[in-house]
Amino acid sequence: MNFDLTEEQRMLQDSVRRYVNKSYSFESRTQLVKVGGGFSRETWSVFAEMGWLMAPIPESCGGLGFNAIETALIAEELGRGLVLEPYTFCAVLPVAIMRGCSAEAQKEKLLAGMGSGETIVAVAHSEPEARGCVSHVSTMATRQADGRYALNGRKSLVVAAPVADRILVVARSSGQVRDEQGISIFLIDPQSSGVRCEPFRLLDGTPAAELVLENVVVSASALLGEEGNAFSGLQRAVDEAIVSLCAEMVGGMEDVIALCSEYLKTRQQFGVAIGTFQALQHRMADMAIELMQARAMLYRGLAVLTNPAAEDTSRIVSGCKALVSKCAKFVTAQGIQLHGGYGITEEYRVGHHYRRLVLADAWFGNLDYHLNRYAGRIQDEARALAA
Amino acid sequence: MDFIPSTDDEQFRQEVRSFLREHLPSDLAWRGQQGYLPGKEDSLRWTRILHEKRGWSAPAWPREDGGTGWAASQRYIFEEECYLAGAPIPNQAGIDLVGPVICHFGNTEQKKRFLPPILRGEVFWIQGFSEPGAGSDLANLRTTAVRDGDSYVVNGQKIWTSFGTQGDWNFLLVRTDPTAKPQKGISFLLLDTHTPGVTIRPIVSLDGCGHLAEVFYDNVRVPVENLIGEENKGWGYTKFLLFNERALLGAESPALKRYLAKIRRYASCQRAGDRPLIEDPAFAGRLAQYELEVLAIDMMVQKILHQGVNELNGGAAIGSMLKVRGSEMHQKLTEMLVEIIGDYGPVFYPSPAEEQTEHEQSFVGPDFAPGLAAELFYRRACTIYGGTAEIQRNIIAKALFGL
Repeated sequence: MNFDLTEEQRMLQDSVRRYVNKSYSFESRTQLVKVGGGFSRETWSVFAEMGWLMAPIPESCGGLGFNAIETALIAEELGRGLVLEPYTFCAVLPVAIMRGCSAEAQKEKLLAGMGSGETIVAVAHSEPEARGCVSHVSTMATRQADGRYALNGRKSLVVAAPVADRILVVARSSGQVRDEQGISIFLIDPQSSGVRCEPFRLLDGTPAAELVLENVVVSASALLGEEGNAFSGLQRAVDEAIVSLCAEMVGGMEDVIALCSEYLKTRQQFGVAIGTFQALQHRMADMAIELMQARAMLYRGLAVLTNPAAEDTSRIVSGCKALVSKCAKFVTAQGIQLHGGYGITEEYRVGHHYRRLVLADAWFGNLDYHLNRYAGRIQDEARALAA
Repeated sequence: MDFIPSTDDEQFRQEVRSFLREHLPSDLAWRGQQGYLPGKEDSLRWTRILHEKRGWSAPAWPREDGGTGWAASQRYIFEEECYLAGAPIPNQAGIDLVGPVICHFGNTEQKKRFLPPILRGEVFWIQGFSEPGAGSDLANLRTTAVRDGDSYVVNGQKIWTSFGTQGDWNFLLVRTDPTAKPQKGISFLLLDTHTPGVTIRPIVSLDGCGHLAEVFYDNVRVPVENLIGEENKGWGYTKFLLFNERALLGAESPALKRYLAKIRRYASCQRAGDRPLIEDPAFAGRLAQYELEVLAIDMMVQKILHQGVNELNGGAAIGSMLKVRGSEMHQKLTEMLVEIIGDYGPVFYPSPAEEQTEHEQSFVGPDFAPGLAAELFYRRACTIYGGTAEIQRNIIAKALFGL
């Protein structure tokens, strides 16, 4: 193991941090939400120019071939800067799905467009009753006599759907609603007939939509890889996205703590800086401890994603999300508390991290779901020992 | 940055494991696994074995003083494997605390005189820091040492001395300049507990054991050659020692892992109705939460072992952060262990070490029940010893945020 960043990793981290500090001020972010629909194609092109969109794309497809550690470095800095453009959802997740699920021939063209920022791809996976369960897919893909597929169903919380050029739809071509077998993924054009995009904004201003599919007929070439066999690739992609999201949360916690540290030294009450009060000093210490734990758990997540010998990767990633979001809940909530009234205002930065955390907890299944899933791992190991 | 385990470390782990299989006596391992704190005899016996077989009795010391020259990660692997195998904890006051102080600040004569007996497991050291009026505010200590010819004459009292009644030698902080600022007038002395005027009384703690003690000094004469470093400079040596204590003992992460392994094992065989307790969703969820916290602590410990302590990873605060979260976890996990045995949790099991009951004596409940409650009560102290959790938070707030 080596916990020091390589020169290349450090430069990557610096490049994101510099960009966010220089060009992604809180004021411009606020403007983006107010008048720009919460997403800037121009910013997305900058991400591409900087190479961040190429990062997770394999070298064989013209990308940089970086692994989860590098994308986590990017995500962490974006999280620190409260960046709205959804790197995890439109870069990490769809690229990982393409890597894990599609045939070689399909990858090249789409990935090239994604890497250059010209093609924005959203992922339509979650359904209201899934609550984190990756195999919960009730949207149907019915193969017709002519070999084409008809898609029918409703996808909730499709991040960036209103701005996407293409959408990866997870559907069921056979089996029951939570079966791992029978899951297929299709690449569709959101303009296709039968696709109804019901757009809304997320709590932080990010554009998203509920996607209703009514007899959306797609050709057989829209199917990624083999019919019915997408589960393992999809699970892996979701795992990578979850760890990326955890990195965003860690970055956000860092920012909250930095903001609080500054505020406690400047805010005066009872004639002194409030940072002289031990109750608040101890709160800051607790926040630092939570951050330490969250970062360490992020490393655990990265360790299982990048170690080929790792076993039960997915449930360890669940553990990672459970612990990181627990820590982030504490830190972001205390960030508000320590700022008093200012903490709850729209115009002050700190509360937006808490808002973001509410989203992060909901995405891919909440704390309870992932904690239970990790508990299942403990129980399975106990059963195996008993047998 | 990468997270691929090093093969060298794995090889070293295997080497330690095979050493333990061969040389760790089964009676020591049994008592260690039960969770009882080892007393003087067990600790010294194990140190002698480590020293005689491999020269491994004080791995962290400088090589020229008898250390192993291992990297921090290897020392940690060694400590972890020993702990998981149930090996007794060595005499920490000697090997982890006074030993390094003598290595760094002692003169040649003192090194020759005091270090080899520690390495060979011949003397048992006890710590003399806290006093009735000097706990968290350690610099407020009142025990005095007055120079008289070739000796210091020591008067006063120390308290909360671990294994105090078993001590052969005692290192202690004394006030040598009552006029100076509190931190400036303190000296670091080494004292033979058999010197006339030393009285040691056991304090029975909640765990039912008498491993704590108070030590009284009534005109005790200590030769001046037993002063470490310079007179009135003892506070600096103490800070070095406390930093060592925190960095070394901090989270006691190997102990956390052993608790988790026990919880998994015991909860798989203890039944609740028609199923093992571990199948209970509420229980398993709580265990999952604890296990994740320990995994995170352990990962952070790995990071510190590989990087050393530096500004980027928390500097002076990191030991305190690990200590706070680690000690909370010790308390939660030992509570859970007692909960697991249900109706046998409230049963009093005498300590085999103290009452010579040994494991042949029959008792009610599962065979792993004795020792669990003792450990739970003992762990209430871990948010107090080595600096209370509150003092640690003060340190963190100051070191990280300048508050």
